[in-house]
Amino acid sequence: MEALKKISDVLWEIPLNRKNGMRVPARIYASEKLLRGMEGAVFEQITNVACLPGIVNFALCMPDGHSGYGFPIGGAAAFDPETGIISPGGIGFDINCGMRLLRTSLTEEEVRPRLEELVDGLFRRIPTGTGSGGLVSVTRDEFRELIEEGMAWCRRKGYATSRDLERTEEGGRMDRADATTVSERAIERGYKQNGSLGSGNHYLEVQVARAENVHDGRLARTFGLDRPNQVVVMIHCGSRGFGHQVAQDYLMKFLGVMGGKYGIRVNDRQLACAPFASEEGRAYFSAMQCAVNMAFVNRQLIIHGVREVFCDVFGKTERELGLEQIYDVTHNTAKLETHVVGGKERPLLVHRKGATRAFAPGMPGLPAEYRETGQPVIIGGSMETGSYLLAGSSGGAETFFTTAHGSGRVMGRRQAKKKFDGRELARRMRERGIVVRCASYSGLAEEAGAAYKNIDEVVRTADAASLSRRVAKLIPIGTIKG
Amino acid sequence: MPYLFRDDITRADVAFEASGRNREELFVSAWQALLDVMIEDGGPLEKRTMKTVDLENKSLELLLIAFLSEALFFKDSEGLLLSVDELSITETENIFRLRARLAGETYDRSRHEPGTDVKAVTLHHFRLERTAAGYSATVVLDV
Repeated sequence: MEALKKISDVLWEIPLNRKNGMRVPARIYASEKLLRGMEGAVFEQITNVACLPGIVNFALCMPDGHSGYGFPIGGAAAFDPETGIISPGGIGFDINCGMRLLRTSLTEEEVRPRLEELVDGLFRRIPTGTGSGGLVSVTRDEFRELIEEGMAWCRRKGYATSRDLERTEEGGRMDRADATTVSERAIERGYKQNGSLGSGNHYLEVQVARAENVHDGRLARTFGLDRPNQVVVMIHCGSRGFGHQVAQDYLMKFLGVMGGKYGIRVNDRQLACAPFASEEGRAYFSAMQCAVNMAFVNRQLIIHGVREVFCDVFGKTERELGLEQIYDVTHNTAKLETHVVGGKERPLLVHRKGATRAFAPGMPGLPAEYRETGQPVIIGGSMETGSYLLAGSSGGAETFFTTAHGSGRVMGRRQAKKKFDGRELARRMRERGIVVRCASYSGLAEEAGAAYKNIDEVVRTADAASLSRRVAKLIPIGTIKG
Repeated sequence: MPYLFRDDITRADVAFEASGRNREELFVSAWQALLDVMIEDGGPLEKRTMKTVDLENKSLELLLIAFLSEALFFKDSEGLLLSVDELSITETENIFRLRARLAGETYDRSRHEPGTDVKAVTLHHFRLERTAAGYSATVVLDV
């Protein structure tokens, strides 16, 4: 920490001279408390990112930053599309791991009496955990269509409304997705997993926006949170085995060409990359977009299942229950975006790994209804402490409109498993009014609230740094996990 | 135990160190560690399905990553959890060739206590080296 230059109470800089090869300084958005909690590996990894060819302005680390592989989790960096690279290690294996938030017109008081039945129904309906299969079966050829079309495929098949698409980042479809850039192995690994949650930190939660937790009533109302103790559903998952295989395939491909063909050296092999303006770079960009689309579809099919379960349990229609999507955000992507650098607009390839895009009010790419509010940002906390809905703000220009994505771990998984007993944890959560259904109690123990950073501190820091504005904290009352 | 989990390498993911007196033992130990993450205590698995895997690589390191990735492929594509029944590695003209016979069964929630769904075998901190006792490898799994 001694080597860090304090820019403000929530911003720190690692200067160029900290490591040989750094092309730009690294900047870490964190309160002093969050900074002290970050492992040394975070600083090592973010300065490795700062060494990559074509990086623009800064290598960035969000307030929830923690050590990952290649980029730290919570890492973001923009690259010049002509001179810069694209790296699977800057996106993550779980391409388009992301969050979706669905609102209901129900209040906590209306849901409580049916909560057990509701959570049971969700756990039965939504595949979770290892070897789980998916909600919707498709052939390999249909899967190729699905990964090129994204949520447009869901609308065509009756699993999504046009409004669902509008309220999803990129309209739920990346238009450079090309199934011919994806291996047969990736198709084989993922085509049976459409509409499945997975495990680890992935979850589906029933949450409540309590009146005392609404930070900005006007924004909350625009996002459809307009009654006290309103119930919402939050989903966290990604592109499953398909996305993991796409990342693995291209990581190996890039390792083969990075040094010999392109003369690029990296400090960590997990940062293997290729020039974006190369045959291999563009092929990965197209394949990665297929995985982004698959993850959009995955979350859409889960939402479709959630809507069915709510209708069954409450005996009402989707419209009567107000089951409207608020927004869907991606965490692990690289996207071509236009940003202002040095007073001039220029195209940039923005990598976000465990970081959320947070477009400010008025920016292109936002649906009309959110043009004045800025993009809804969904930040998932631990299953015990709660999550947040935020909105993008103009201060985000410093980070290419990027903010935090979660709370970030403070305890290793195995350490958490030794410290907490999954069944005991579920019992304690139930006493506190949170109904839990999970495929794995040991997996549940890994996700104990105490294994994560304080989400309030992360979100407060993102707000103080003007990366995003707090709208409402959402408290879990029901959770299903793999 | 030919493998041990390392809590000091990663917070968000899972790391282990595997060892063996020879290359084959190392690969089997690493596979068993991976299985131990995916299901509690690595089993029990009945030999209901057999699979054969043939892989080759100029690098023994990348061969190990490719081999472990097979476990993830079978898990996601067919819901199969497999253990190593037989394994051989040969080296000719600087190319390592692996043949493995895997045996196991479809994941069954009523009989298997699930662990953590592994997404990928990463190159982060990845290391395979010769030791006085044979071979050792450090592997970080993305979960």
